[in-house]
Amino acid sequence: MTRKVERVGGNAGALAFSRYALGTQLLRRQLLGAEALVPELSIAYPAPSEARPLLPPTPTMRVHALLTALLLLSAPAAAAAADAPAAAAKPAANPNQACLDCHEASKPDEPGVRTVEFGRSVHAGFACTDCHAGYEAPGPHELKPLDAADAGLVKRFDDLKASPAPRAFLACSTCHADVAEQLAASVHGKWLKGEGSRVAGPSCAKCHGAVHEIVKSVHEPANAATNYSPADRNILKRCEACHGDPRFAEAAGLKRDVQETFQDSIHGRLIAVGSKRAPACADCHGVAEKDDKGVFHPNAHRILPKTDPASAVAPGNKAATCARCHAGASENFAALISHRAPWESDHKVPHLLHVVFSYLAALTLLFFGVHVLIDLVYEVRMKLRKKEAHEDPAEHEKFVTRFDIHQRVQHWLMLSGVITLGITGWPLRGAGSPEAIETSRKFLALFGGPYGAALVHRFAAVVIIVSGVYHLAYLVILASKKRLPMSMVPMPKDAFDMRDNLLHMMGLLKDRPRFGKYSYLEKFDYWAVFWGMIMMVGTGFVLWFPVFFAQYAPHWVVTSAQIIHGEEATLALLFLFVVHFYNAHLKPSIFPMSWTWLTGKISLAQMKHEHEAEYDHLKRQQSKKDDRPHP
Amino acid sequence: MKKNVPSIIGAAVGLALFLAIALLPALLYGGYAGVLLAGGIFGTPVQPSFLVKALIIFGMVLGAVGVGSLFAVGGAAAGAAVGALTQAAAPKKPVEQENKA
Repeated sequence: MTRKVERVGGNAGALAFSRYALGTQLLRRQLLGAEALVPELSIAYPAPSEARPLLPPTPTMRVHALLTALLLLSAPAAAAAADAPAAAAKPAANPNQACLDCHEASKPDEPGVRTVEFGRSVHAGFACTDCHAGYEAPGPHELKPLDAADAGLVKRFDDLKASPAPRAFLACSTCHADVAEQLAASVHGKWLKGEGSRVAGPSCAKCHGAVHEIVKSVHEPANAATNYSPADRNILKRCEACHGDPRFAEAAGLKRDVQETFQDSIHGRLIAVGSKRAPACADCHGVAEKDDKGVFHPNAHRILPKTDPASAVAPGNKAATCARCHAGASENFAALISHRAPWESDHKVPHLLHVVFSYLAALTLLFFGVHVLIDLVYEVRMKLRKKEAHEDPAEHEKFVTRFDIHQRVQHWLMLSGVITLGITGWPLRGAGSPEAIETSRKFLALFGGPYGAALVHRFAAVVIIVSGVYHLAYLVILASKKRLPMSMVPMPKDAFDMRDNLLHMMGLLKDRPRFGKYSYLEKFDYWAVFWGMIMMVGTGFVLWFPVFFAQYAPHWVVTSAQIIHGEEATLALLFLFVVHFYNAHLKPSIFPMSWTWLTGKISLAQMKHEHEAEYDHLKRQQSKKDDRPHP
Repeated sequence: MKKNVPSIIGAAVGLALFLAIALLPALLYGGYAGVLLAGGIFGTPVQPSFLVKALIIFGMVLGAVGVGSLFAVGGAAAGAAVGALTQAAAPKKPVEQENKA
């Protein structure tokens, strides 16, 4: 890009060159005076090609220019009242005023410069002629002739309809020659060089917005472990403007689903719910550069094709790129992120697991959903019938212990852990749906954002692990005392009970099966938690320490963990909140809540209704006790 | 007052709260769960076939019922806690009066 450097010295002239060398603040003072640093008063005009036709000023324009001039002149006057000595040194008029007379946009959709927006822009304080070099007010002006190279570039902009301001690129590169050079050398610069591009790639204005309204990019806080500061979140929108447009992607020969796959990835979801740390496009694809303070930043102007060995996503560099955020990332870890759904991995296992778990979740929920519906209809029918005559009202007031304090504590730990895991985890998973993003963002904000929620999620995971360990220890102690209850072990009778219970509830079988201490539903609840704990805790650990696991396991193991964790969570939460809550609390005979989970007790009437075999066993034991002769 | 009245009031408040703030998110999340399941069963990208639509609606229903249940049971538990606290704080009636009642 030596051409651009020459241009700085030649076309734009010594004035621009000296400004570049001295620094903008100093130059602003030199050129415009101190009042030009007041953003609202700093006006520039658009590039000639994007300005309205240069006609002689109309009466309306004259009136408008007069009013604007009065307004602008009144502001320095007010400032002078406060600081008279300083005001004495200021020039009387704004040097942009002459340009503004014709080129200010008075309405939002009008071509020209919107003064308020320009005042807020990163270029506020610049004189119009800093960029539009060589023009003098008042007009009309002729477009300045360009040298052959610049003219060719402008023609390419025009031919490909690249920008409403083709000359803006030249104006920007006057000061930002280094950036223009980097862009031209990047994957996005091919079209600038006319290397067979069918569509216009990015130009300054295409990514940074209207040339007079460019705002400063804000880098996010640096990662303490890796000293890397992620890119401005807004870069995502800039990249998606082209890469998320299917028509553009097709015309340019780009992958059409990169936006979709990114939004559905963990990084995309985190950004969607407000993460300041998750990587945007440039964080992975841009070359990282160190600033004066030693902090690394991504350079969005240096995105190289992945075939280039210097590219951040070249096969040999991927691990280092991931290590910008994930310290110690390996090549195996880097293979996890590839702009595709986890189940579309190059290994068969993730795909197979996705299919198996989808069937498992859908069929389990379908079966138990229907079971709940049949039970609800049955319960309502029973409720409408009169109470059976042989029911003993006193049995509603007599209670027996069903769960001891250890079992209840285990349950309390488990339920609080699972509910917390659900409410901190599902919003992030749900953020893959564009419609649910706002809900997820607001909900996670209750926990201080996605990282606060992640911290609570991990704490809840520890709570359910404690619950699981407590339960296993409890079982071991019971076994050592030869008191291990076998009533929770699934038996063939349970399958027949399930069939008969459904037939009975549908009115196809007269007698209801006689359940022992635990019915088939309760046994399913219990063993499903065992299964769920192994699945969720096991995969949760992999996701908690993905860099560590990726060092020792193939990448598809981590991908499989991601799939299982999400699918099993969906199944577990829907099963617990729909099926378990209905059976334990919400069925009409129990509604609104069973007290057993708090007191550990169950009334004899309820035991007779739900656990008839156990009730009979209890009665038999009681009568044996009563029959024994008293000493 | 019957023992379960505070928990019934709590459940009603929980359900009202669910209808006010959580019904729409529950439908969205449930529907998305349906989309994910449909992707595994019928393949991606998900096509709008009858079975896929049915699975998504099933997901929406489960989402709404599940979150509604959580609010109802949570409300009932909160109501029961409030009931227990107010009962503990209230002065005890004389035994005779209680027997008459």
